[in-house]
Amino acid sequence: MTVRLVDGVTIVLEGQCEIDDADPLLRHLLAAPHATVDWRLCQGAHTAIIQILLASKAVVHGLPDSIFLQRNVAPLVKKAQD
Amino acid sequence: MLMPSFIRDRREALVAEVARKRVLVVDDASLVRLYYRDALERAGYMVDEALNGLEALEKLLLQPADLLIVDVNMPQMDGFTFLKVLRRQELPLAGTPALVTSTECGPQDILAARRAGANFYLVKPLTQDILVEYAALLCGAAA
Amino acid sequence: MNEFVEQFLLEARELVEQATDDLLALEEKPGDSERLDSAFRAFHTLKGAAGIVDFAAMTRAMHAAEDVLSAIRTGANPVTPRLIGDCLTCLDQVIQWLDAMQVSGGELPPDAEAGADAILRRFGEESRVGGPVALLALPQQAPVSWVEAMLDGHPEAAAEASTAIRYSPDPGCFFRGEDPLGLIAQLPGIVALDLLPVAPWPELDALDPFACHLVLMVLISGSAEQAATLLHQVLDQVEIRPLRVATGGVEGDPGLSAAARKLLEAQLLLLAEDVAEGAAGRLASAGKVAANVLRHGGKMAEAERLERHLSHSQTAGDPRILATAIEAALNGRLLAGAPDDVGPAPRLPEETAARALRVDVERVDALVTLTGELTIAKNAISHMAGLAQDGMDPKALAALLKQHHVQLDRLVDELQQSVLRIRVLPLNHVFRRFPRLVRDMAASLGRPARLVTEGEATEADKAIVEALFEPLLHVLRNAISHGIETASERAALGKPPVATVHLRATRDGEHVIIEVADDGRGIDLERIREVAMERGVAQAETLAAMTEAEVMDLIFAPGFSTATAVTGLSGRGVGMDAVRMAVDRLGGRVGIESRPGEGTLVRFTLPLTLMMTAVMTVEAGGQLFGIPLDAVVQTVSVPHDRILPVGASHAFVLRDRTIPLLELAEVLGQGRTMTPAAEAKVVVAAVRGGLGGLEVDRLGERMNVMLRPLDGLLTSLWGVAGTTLLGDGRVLIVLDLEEIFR
Repeated sequence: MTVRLVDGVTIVLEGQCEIDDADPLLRHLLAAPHATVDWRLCQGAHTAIIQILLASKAVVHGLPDSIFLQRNVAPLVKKAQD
Repeated sequence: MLMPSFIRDRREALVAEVARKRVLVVDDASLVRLYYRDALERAGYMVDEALNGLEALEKLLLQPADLLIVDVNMPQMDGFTFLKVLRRQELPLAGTPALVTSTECGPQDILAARRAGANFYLVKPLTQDILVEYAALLCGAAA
Repeated sequence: MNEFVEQFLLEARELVEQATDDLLALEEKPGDSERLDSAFRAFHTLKGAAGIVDFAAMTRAMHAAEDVLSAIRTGANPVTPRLIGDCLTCLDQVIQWLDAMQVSGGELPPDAEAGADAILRRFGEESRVGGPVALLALPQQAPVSWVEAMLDGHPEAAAEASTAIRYSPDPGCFFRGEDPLGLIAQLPGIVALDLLPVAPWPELDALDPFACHLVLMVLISGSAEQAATLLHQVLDQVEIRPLRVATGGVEGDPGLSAAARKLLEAQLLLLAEDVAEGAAGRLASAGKVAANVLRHGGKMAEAERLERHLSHSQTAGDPRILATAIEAALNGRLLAGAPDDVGPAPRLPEETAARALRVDVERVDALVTLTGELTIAKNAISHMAGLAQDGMDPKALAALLKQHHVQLDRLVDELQQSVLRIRVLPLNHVFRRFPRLVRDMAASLGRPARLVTEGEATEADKAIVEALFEPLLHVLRNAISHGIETASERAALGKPPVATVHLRATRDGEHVIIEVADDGRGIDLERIREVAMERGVAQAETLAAMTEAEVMDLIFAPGFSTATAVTGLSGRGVGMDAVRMAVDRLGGRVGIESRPGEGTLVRFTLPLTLMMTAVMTVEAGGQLFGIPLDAVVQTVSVPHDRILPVGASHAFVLRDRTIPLLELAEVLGQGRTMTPAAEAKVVVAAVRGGLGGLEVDRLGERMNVMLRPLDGLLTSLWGVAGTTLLGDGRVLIVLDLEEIFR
């Protein structure tokens, strides 16, 4: 389980998030549209995961645990929120 | 039987004929001339040939060309001498665009061609496509 | 293009043709080990050739095909139509690559890896990951909009970036286990990344999480080769553009091609030359070339502007004025917001034209020998000039000159013949493309047929051979889609189930005869009559008066086309009239014969060469025209009182035959300019199976001319067979009597 909904308002992405995590993430976001995504422990994310973050304009918390995601993807996800 | 537009068509045709760009190929190698002529004629140019610089000058004095394609090593008058003499002539003849094609590819060869007054330099062997592409640019033929 | 690549393109095409022939023969006779060996060798040589030019993708593909053929050789695999088809597809891919390289001037096609992968899959092999990956020599192209957008969006990254990548994953790529972002993350030196939705994001509940909706754009400091290596599995979804690092990104006018830029830059260098001698000529030529380059790119206004700068430059005697203007044009500053063109359209390789002329050494040697003889003949003239100067007896001199003329005449004749032989190609050049096409056509129409070619070695003028492909293809298509019965019909008729179509060429004196003969159902004359009436090609009474051959000939009439079923193969209803037109244009004739139940034969009778035509010049309405001599029967003077009005036109009687008479000046819309003489000068010509008279003002001389067939604008010209340039530079219009007497 690398995608978890905790306390009803926070979705946690942990470790290597694969394609199989896309559907649960999407369902969590649909169930809790105002949830914050905490990806500080995320070490990698499949395209499908990032795609959902971009499409949902989800609010993310912190920076992920990967240089690539930090430098190149996080700014895009943050920008999508605007 | 008679198409009323015939006169107009024919006049247009003659105008088109006149508008066709004339290229003078100056090269002592008959195969090169043939190869260039084949490419250029298929692309719609009128092609005239000269075997050396002297002959080219004579031909140009009789009939101007839109483009010269000039070899370097030729008997009687080589390409560089020809270009130098050409650029000293009266205008507009002196301003005829000239493309040098040569098997030499060193920078000093290209420099020598430019000193002689060449507008561009292509290294042989060159494909017909390339030749036609550059001829069109140098003549300002419609794309 | 470098010499190797050029040679590679030439040879690879020949090898593909060889392999195609072998494969088709092998399909017919699966046990033919000679053909098998030959096909194997062709693939093997192709592989080697690809290696020489560093074309790794092609090497891979050829290797795979070689493996398959090798398995057949050892008996491990049987020959199946599917396998032959796969090998042929592989050759198709090679031809596409070669075409692309031809167009790009020898650059390896950027999508070659994907093509090679497809071929490996076809041969049931997985892409050999870790195998040699093509060193992609990507073309230095003018920047494209997405690259510019990317650089604009990341100005801080532009200086570092040396390669731009756009990755458009296909929506289903996740199911194949692909992770586009994961791949991108491995690229060396990412300096900027953009993730864009292919379409505006849908409501979240409508989002399909398993489809990829993203386009990924990346700028990296790594090289295009590195990128290509890393992304080799998805190269078909990726665009890679090397950036011009030296100029720090995009600069200059994107409307100029690379060649155009090079030419403009060369003019700047020419203007910078500090040599007094010929400076005015150099300046003028540089200005002219620069203006021409702009004009070629459709930038008419800019070209004119540049010319104004040229004349300023000339009056001031300062080349720098022009140089500044050329620099401005290079940087696109002259554009001044004008809506601009998109540069020249991409060039497509010519479908039928041979790319290079391969000439027998023997033929070149013959020319060299002739040149020597001509030089001797030329020297003799200066000798004779000397004799004349020394006061030689004019009669003796004339005799000498005449003798010399005979000699020169022979030499020029031989020279012409030799040049013609250089331009000659075997018909195989066009024939060998057909077995494959016939195979495909027959298969898609479900009418089993095989093509038998004969006389491929027969030679004809290059221009004719190259122009034959389309008309022949059309006739072959017709034979298969209309001429041949289905297999069951054939069986019922007691015919062999597989139809045979013969394509043969023979030389007949000064002509080349090409025949397409099928053993199909033949042509139903009654049906032709019906169709001709239906389509208004001929009236009932005309039809009734026609011979069977004339009725058959209606097939070639404009508007007749019997293409009832417009299939992908029979084209868009283009009829046999197009075939006749194409053959006419080559100076040939086309005819048809048919026997119900036994088959149909279409025959092209073509001249051996397009080049020399004997014409007779005539003057009409103050202008000179040429009449092809082979049509001229005789010239006569007819007293005007012997010219009889017949309806709206005229005729006269010649040896008991009434011959229609046209006045050339009037026909050509010139009107009369000469006062009528007591006798009319008439050229009697054989046209359309009869005789016709053409009244002219004056008869000229006969001459051999190089007839230039009409092209471009002139093709539609009525009554004109072609043009030729006279010795004095005038254009001689050679008339098409068939059309004038129509």
